[in-house]
Amino acid sequence: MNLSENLERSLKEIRELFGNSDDLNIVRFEASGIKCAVLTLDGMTSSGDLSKMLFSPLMDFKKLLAQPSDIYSFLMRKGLFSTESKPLRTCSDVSERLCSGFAVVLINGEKRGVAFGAQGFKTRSISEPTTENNIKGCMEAFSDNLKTSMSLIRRRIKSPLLRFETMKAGKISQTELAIVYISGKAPESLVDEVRSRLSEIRLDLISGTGCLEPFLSNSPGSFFSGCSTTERPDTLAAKINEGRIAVLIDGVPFAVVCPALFMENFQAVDDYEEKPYFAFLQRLLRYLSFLAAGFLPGIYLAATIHHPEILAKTIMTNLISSEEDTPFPLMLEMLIVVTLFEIMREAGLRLPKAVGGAVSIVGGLVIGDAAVTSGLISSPLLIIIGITATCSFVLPSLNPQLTILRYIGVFAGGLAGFFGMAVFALVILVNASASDCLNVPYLSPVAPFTMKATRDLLWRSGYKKMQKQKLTVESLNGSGREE
Amino acid sequence: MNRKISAKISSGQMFILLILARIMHTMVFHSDDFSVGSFMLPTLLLTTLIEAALSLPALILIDNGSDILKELSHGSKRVYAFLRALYSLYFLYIAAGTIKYIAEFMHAEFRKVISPIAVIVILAAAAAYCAHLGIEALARAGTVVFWIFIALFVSMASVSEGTFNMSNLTPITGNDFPAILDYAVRDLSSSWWLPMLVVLGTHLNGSKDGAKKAAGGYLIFKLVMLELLALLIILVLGRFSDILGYPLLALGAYARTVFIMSFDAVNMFVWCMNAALVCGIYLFIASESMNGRKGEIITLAITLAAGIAAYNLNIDFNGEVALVIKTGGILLLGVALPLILMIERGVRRCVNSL
Repeated sequence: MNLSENLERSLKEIRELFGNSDDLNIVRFEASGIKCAVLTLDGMTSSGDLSKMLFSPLMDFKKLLAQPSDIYSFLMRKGLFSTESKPLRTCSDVSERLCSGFAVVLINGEKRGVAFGAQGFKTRSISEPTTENNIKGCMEAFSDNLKTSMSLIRRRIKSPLLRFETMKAGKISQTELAIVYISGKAPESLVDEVRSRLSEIRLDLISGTGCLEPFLSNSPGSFFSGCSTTERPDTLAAKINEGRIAVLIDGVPFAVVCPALFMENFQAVDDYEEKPYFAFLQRLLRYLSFLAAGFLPGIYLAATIHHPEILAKTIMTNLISSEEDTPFPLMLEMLIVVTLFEIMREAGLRLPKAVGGAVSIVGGLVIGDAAVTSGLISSPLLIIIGITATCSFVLPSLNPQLTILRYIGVFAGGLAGFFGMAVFALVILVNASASDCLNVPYLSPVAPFTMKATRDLLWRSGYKKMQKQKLTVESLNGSGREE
Repeated sequence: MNRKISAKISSGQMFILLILARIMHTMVFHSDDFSVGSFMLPTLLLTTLIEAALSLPALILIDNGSDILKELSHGSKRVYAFLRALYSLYFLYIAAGTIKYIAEFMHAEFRKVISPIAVIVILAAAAAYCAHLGIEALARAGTVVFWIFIALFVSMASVSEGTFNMSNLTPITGNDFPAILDYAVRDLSSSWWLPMLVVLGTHLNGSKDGAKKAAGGYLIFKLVMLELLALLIILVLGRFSDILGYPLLALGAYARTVFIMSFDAVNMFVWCMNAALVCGIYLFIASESMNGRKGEIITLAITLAAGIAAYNLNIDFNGEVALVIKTGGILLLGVALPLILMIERGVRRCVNSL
């Protein structure tokens, strides 16, 4: 519906569009005897900014504004009130701008309105990263505010080649998204693909990164995700510098980055702050942690239940003697402890931070100790779970997958020994091999193997070497071209 | 994440798929079927040379970008379907045999772990799932499995307590001729990499001489690997290998560390991984001509039924009939069909030039 020359009629239409919502504010005033109205949504605009940018100049210059069109052109062209001012012609234009925190001015006798960027909603200030902690390097994390997050990236890449493309997604939420990439580094075809995939989203609400990932990775049946998330602007800057594409979501302090590789889960910011040999050691430990966190309980069951001959004599006798006193079959015992661990982890995560610590004390020390002392659970099994739990904390980005791997591993190893573990491991491996995001294989640069890209796999090359070899994800694209 | 018909693999990945299939066969090789001795060493060289010669027609055609089966069928859908069906049947037979071998191996060495029928069902289901994910996924996973193998062999060799007994290396005499012939036929009958190459050749990426590189790599690696293994078996196990079921497993028994007393289960872990992968390749080839889920389900059902029947009826995949089927299949599907196409092309070229 177009805006009317009659101010009251336009206001009525807009009120009806919002269903007389209480947060719609309408301030009426007169300039040179012409009726005007300023529309805002509660808490979305800054009243201080509005009075400085709009009301004061209008009152100061009201003698020059004899006609409604004079006020309109003064607001649009002659005066400088805000860095963003947009002409509006329809009621839906008005609602869209209001929802984005703009203030809208309607003038009686004028069919057009003007929207001013006067956003003043409260957002969390820039804080330290909470899920990707580091010792050295940047200590800033993305903000809930899209514009703030965009500025954090711009501050790190001061180049006109850095591109932000904003678009809306979510049929009802109309959430603002920003596609971030470096022109010339990200292949244009990939940017087009991301654009088209995002435009195909028909969800009502975009509440977080999880809403976008399935549309971006488009790899149904894949166990691992083809997209990663980061809350660090420095990590995102490094990733888009390799030709990746990121998507920022207004209201979410995380960015979705695609394509993601399995090997990236083992890289950390501090790897690039330390000497390469130390980074190598750290990464080696992370790979070992992945294997232990996912497969150790299954291997333990397979070895103790089905293949005791594999173990050295002393280890075997110790295990047998400790297992003899427990009432449950070993596999059931393992399932109980693995499940208890997951429950405690979940409780620690959901509870307030002050109470969360108490859960680990109760769970880890009290229950664990009591279970072993009472003979319900054997101590070697508890050691195995302790190692598994600690290792799983090393790779928070793979935690969902590791939890599932652990459970399947317990069944596979407990029921079918190393045969079960072998088949299970192969199926996961082939599944991961079949996954890709935007045509970049998930397991690259290992499978398919790309020699050039191994410089940042287990051993991180020095910066002098890195500056000579420019690498983009495009070079990992497709098994037909690997070395 | 459905199978991609147009999926492409590199020559390196092709080499790995072929070599993994060969390793699979070597692993479950049962010494009951023939004796072990120095005669194996020159025989392996001889059979490798024969294989190299036999592979030439297929290699020339694949590297020229030919889809051998399509060209042979001259646009006739029926002929094409018939030719594809031949390959499907052949590889279903090989898949059933491989699964039966693994079930037998599990029953013989790890009787208490899992029943043979469960082994067949799990292995066939896993292979069918892997085949469903396509040749690219299999090839990429194959690279990882290949390196796991290398790591296993290196680690076992480095902690092995076995000693070489040079007296086991007896000179070859005229009496060894029947054994040489028998071993050569058996080795050639396991060269189904030739029909594999013909079918998978269409999935090779456009790199120059891709098929030749893959085949060359395969033949060299196969020769070196089998010569080394044969030498190890002869020097370490000697005549013991005649009474030991699986010589490779017996070699692993010599390896031990502070934590691991016996590598048997570790060996089995890697063997079973490879078995599922290799069967996945066979099922992929078998189901490729039958588009869609239906084809995949049919191949899975046939493999399951054939595997269970082969195990329960104790069908010998190393017996004389099996040797005829395997060798005949290799000669027909891997050598004769490409040769026919080559001759046909040559004749056509001559006619055109006249």
